[in-house]
Amino acid sequence: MSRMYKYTAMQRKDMPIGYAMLLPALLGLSVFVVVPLVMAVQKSFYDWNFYKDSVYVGLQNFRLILTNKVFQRAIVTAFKFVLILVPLQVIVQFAFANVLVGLSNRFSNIIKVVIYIPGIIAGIIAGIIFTFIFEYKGGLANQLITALGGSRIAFRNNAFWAIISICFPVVWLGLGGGTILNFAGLVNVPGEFYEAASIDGASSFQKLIYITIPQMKNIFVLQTIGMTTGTLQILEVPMIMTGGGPREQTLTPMLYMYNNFRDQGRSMGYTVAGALLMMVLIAAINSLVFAIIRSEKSIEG
Amino acid sequence: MVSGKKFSIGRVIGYAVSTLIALLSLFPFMWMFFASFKTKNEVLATPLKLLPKTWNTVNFQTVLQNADNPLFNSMFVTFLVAISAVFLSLLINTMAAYVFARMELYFKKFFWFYCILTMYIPGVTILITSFLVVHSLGMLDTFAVLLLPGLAGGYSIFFFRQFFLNLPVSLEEAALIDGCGRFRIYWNIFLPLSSTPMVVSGAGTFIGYWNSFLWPSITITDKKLQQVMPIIRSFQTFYGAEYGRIMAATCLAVIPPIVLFAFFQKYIVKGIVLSGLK
Repeated sequence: MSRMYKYTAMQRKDMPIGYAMLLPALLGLSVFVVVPLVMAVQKSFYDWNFYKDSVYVGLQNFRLILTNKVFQRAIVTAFKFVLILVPLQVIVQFAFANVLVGLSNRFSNIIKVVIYIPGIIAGIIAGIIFTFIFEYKGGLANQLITALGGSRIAFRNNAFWAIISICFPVVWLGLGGGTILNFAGLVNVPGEFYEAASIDGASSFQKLIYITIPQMKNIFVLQTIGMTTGTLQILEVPMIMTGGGPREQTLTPMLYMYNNFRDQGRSMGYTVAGALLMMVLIAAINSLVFAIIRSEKSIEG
Repeated sequence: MVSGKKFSIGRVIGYAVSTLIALLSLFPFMWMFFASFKTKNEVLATPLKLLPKTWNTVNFQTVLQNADNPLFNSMFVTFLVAISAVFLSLLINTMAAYVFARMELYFKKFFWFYCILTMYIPGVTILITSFLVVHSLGMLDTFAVLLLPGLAGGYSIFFFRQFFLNLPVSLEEAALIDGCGRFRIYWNIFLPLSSTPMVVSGAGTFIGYWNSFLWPSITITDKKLQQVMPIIRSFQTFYGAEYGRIMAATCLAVIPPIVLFAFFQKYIVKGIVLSGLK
C-alpha cells in the first residue's frame, strides 16, 4: 500500500497524459530498434534466407562468420581505417583548432562556418567527387602528380593507394565539426591556468603538454569513441570509390553485409551473426577507451 | 586562450594556414561545380583547366531528363520525407524529453534506461532485421518506410531532456497551480523557449534524411518513391566516366542542405558544441 503514496495526487492525476506523451517515442524505438535487435539475436541461431525456411543451427552461424575469410579481412580492413583515420583526425582537428584560437574572433568564426560546409554533405556525394578527383586518366590528383614529375597512380587498383584515397573524403567531411568541438574545448580551458604557468616560466610546449591536453581529455575521448564507432561502420565512401576492391582489400564489414543482403540467395543467418559481433566489438572498444581514461585519472589522483 | 593578441609572425602564418585550409575545404565543391558545365572532352582533359570553356548547361538538362533515374522527382519526394521527419521527430522526441525532465511516472527510470540503451545499438547490427520488420508490416515501397524508422531517437530525447532540465522550475509552477494541463505547459511554455535546440535538432534530422542512402536503397524499388542518394548512386553506374553529367546531378543534390545551412549556420555551428560537450 505504501507504494500508492510514492507520488502526490497531482502527479498521479498527470500520469495518463505523461504515458501518452511518451508513447510515440517508446513505440518508435521498440518497433525500429529493440525488436530488430531481439530478432537479430534470435535469427542468428537459424539458417535462413529470404527464400528458405529457418532451420535451428545453434552456434554454427557464429562459427561460420568467424572463420569466413572475407569477413575476417573486412574486420582487419576496418581496423586499418580506424588506425589511420582516428589518430589523424584527432590530431589534425586539435592542431587546427589551436591555430584558430589564436586568431581574431571574427576571422575564426568565418573559417569555422566554411570548413563545416562539407560536414553536411552525404558520404555518397563526397565519394563521387573524390572518385572524380582520383580518376586514373585525367583525374585531378594524377594530373598534379604528373605535373610535379611523378608517374600516374592507379588509385583503385593498388590496395595501399585505395585506402589512402578513401581517407581523403572522410577527413574532408569531418574536419569542420571536429575542429569546432576542439575550439570550444580550448576556449573553455580556464585562462588562469596559463597565466599561472607563465609566471612559473613554463614554455608553450609545456603548457600544451601539462595544461591543454589534460584539459581536453573529455573531448578526445568523445571524438575517439565517435570516430571509432563510425569508422568501423564505414560504408558509403568505400562503396562508391572502390566497391571494396582491389581484391576486397577495402571491403569493410558494413559493405560485406550490404553485399550479402543484396545477394539474397546467401544465408542471412551468419550475416546477422556477423552484425551482432560488430555490436559486441564496438561496445568492447568503447568500454576499453573509457577504462583507459579512468585508469589515467586514478593515477593522477 | 591568452588575451594578448598582438602582431607576430606566428599569427600571420596562422591566418595564412587557416585561409588555405578553408579554401581547400571549398575546393572539391568548386571542382564539382565547374565540372558540371564542362563537356565530356573537357572534364578529364590534359592539361586541366579549372573553369569550363563555355558555360554549357547540357549536363543539367540531360540528368534532369533522364527517365530511368528520375532526379527531380526523387529530390521532391526526399524533400517531402525529410521535412515531414523534421516536424514529427521534433514532436515525438520533445514530448518524451519533457516527460523525462518534468513528470513522475511508474517505471520512468526503466523507460529512460530503455531510451538510452537504444543509442548504443549500431545501425549495422539491426539493418537486416529492420528490413524483416518493415517487410512483415507490409511497409516496403511506402512513404511510411522512409519516414517512420528514423523518427524516435534516444540521442535526441537525451539532448532535449538536458535542455529542459536547465529551464527553471518556476516556469510552470504558476501554470500548474492554475490547473493548466501538462500537455499545454509543454506546448505553450516549453516549446516556445526551445527554438535553438529545435533548429539544431531539426537541421540534423533534415540533413540525415536527405543524405540517407542505405535504408531507402533496400526498402524502395518503386521509382516514384526513390530517394535522392540512391538515384545519385545509380547515376554513377549509368554515366561511368561522363563526370560532367554526374557532377551536374550532385550539384543539384547538394542544394537543399547547403541552402538550409546558409540560413541556420549560426545555430548549427553552435549546436555542434551544444550536442558535443554535454
